[in-house]
Amino acid sequence: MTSALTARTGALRRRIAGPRRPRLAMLRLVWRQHRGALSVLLSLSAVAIGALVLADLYDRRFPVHLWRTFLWQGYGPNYPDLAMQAIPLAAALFVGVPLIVPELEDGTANFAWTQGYGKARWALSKLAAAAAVLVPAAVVLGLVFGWWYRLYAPATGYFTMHAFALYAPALAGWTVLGLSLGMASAALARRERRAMALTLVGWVALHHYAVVGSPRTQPGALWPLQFIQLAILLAISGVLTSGVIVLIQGAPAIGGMPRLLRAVPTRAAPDAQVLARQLRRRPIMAGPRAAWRQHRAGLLIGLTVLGLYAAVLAITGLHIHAEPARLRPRYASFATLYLPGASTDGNFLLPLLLPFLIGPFAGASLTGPDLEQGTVRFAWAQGVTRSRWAAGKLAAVGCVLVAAAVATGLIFQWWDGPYLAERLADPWFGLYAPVYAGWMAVTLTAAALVGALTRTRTFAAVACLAGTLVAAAANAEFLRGHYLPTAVAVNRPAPPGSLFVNSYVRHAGALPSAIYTRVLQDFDNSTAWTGIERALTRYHATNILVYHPASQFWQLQAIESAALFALALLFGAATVWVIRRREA
Amino acid sequence: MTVLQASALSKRYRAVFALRDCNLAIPDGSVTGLIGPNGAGKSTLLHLAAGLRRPTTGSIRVLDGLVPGSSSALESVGFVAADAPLYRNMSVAGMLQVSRDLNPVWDGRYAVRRVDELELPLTAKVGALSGGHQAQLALTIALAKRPRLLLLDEPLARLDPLARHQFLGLLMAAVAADGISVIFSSHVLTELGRICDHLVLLSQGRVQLAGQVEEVLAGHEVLTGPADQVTSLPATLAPIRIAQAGAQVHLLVRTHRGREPEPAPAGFAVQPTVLEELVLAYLGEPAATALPGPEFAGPAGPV
Repeated sequence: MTSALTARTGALRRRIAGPRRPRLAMLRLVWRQHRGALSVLLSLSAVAIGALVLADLYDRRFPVHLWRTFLWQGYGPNYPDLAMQAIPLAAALFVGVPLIVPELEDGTANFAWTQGYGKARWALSKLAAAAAVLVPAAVVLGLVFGWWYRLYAPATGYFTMHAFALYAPALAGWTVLGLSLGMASAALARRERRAMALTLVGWVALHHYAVVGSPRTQPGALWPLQFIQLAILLAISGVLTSGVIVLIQGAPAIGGMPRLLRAVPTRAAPDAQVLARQLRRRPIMAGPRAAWRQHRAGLLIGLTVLGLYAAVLAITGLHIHAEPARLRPRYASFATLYLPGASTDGNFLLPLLLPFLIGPFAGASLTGPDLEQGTVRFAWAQGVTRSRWAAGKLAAVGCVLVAAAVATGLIFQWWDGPYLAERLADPWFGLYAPVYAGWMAVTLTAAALVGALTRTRTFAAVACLAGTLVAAAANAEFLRGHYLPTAVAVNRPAPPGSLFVNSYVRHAGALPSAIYTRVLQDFDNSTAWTGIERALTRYHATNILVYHPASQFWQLQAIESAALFALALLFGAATVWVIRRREA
Repeated sequence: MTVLQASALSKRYRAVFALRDCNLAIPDGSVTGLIGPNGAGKSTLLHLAAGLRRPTTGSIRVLDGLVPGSSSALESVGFVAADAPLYRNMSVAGMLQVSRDLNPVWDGRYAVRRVDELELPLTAKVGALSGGHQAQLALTIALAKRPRLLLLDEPLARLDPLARHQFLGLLMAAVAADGISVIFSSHVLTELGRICDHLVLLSQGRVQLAGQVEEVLAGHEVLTGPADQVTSLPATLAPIRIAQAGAQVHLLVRTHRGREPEPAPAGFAVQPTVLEELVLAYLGEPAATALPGPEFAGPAGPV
């Protein structure tokens, strides 16, 4: 056993004891420290490249005029573009920020700065090393994107926001910018979560202002403008990096001196007698109170966001309810009427996303940080068993957030009242209380489980955010249609307010593709259907429309929310089980 | 009555054994020092006793048969880890309130009095306190739950000499007043001698020496004599450590308990040993063991 161990560690020992190899030292260090995030980003790039190649094989089967149809339906480059643009953002958040933040936070920077690397060289070589890994990947992805996009470019143009940023020069530029932005935020904020928030804000602002060209620019200007964009982005990166150097030259790392030097606040202590009496009480709500004390900051942020959404609903809802029915604003454009400056589409996208943003972060903070920072060795040595500790936290925070989700869902139901007929057809099915609260519970418990398994907060939260969003999209797209028996309409529209499930055309023959589009667009609009019907008869085609009638609304809500809460209970039980078996 | 009983206890982290086949019984009302070089398994033993880790094989029980980590054990075992983990972004008062909420027994008056004695502002963030103050606060919380057994991992490491003195005084006061048992690991040998009545020496995951301090000291003696006569000593002596200083040689040997003390060999003088010397001798010779007789640490009975 011992000799086997010695043999196995022999090579390692020789390597550690061997002569130093100064070439690429920083690259090795950065890879060693950040290989998790770096390899995830490299794999994402590889997956994106693979998906583009496969999509090209698929897309080329269609005649050119159909691409417009796809674009209109949203199957065009919009979604993949957005997903691919998340790669440089992820580089900023998960490589750029962690390049220096943990070292500043834990004080290991003090170690690094005494190893013969100056502070400036330390920061610069970290940035360069991370860029050396990620920029080649970005260039390859950008080149493959440009090749794939050639089919779509004539229809959509080179200069839409999404496409332009994905050509190789721009993508490489955004990657470098992301890394330096993350690092600059880190040097400024010196705390991981603050730095991530700052990076996100900076990223959105730069994406808004640091863009050249417009949809009206001539196609011939693509490559010159690409390199102008690259130059601009590199210049901004240069400014940010100089900022990093100035900032870290200034102060030592947190873990070292400043904590000892920082004055202890000298506010007058509360009366010891009163506090001692307070400490003696042992109310029934002790467990939830402990959970609240530990997680109140995060919970308050979540509740504030939900509260803001409820306030917007209340203000606009009062206006809508006060209008006579015939003057009532059209459903989708209400916000322009009552909230000047708001955009007309996507009004409810953000509230729809709230459970997927609040739940994962709240859930991951229940289990992740305690395991990550070792404070479980405090918590689990107190007088409460681990199962009770975990279950109590989940129950306390879960009940608060689920109750808040139910309340906002009910407010939305009141708001939506005047549009009752359109209820099932509208995309806001998920905003009604049962399903809204159900997703809140699922995202919360799933993140708590992942946090317990991976001993992380940020990773667990982001993984659950992405995972549950994909699950929710898949549920809406593929599963919801199968929860109940569907109704079928042959060559006629579905009744108003129905939920579209599917549509087939038999004997399509020479039926123009525009008719498909109109069937999908106006599936429950009987006035628009007169033209469609005429076309179908002329080409001897049969259209079969599968839908859920509006009367099934609450049944669908009940089924979906029951499934979601069952899933949440399962995740919660699994979290408790994992915590019970965890070693501190 | 035992506060900690381990039988055939082993703990493995992947390929490395942190503890191997430990048999140990620590009696009630004792203050036990846990000594050993870095990596000897001290923290692992304390973590196992606190229920933070589970044994790979064998069993460990605290306070007469309670399973570590069970609700009844948690209630009466206090534990402070080496880095005294506390919620850094909480205030001192918040930390006390959380501890109150998490413990069925909680002496808030004691906690507040201690915090006042330490002159810790109740509103200060725990993360803004110095390392020593954080350790003191963690100990205060552990004592305020009125444990019957207190487990402390390196409690002295982060304290200055004065704080160390006060800390040990506090510990002894708690032992005298409430009769609690304490097991703590430490490298500070002189302090150990002052307060410990029991001693467990761990080396490479095994128990090297365990017993009551007085008995252990009585069981060893130092022979001093001319170096050239070492070979003439009886083979049964089996010295634990031989230190040569010029023509003189010092031998730390084990005396045989329960038997008449043998006369010193010709030319050698017998002296009693002191704790520090004994511990250093054993630390320097990891292979030497002096396990107690069955009256102290037999195999665990049925649980």
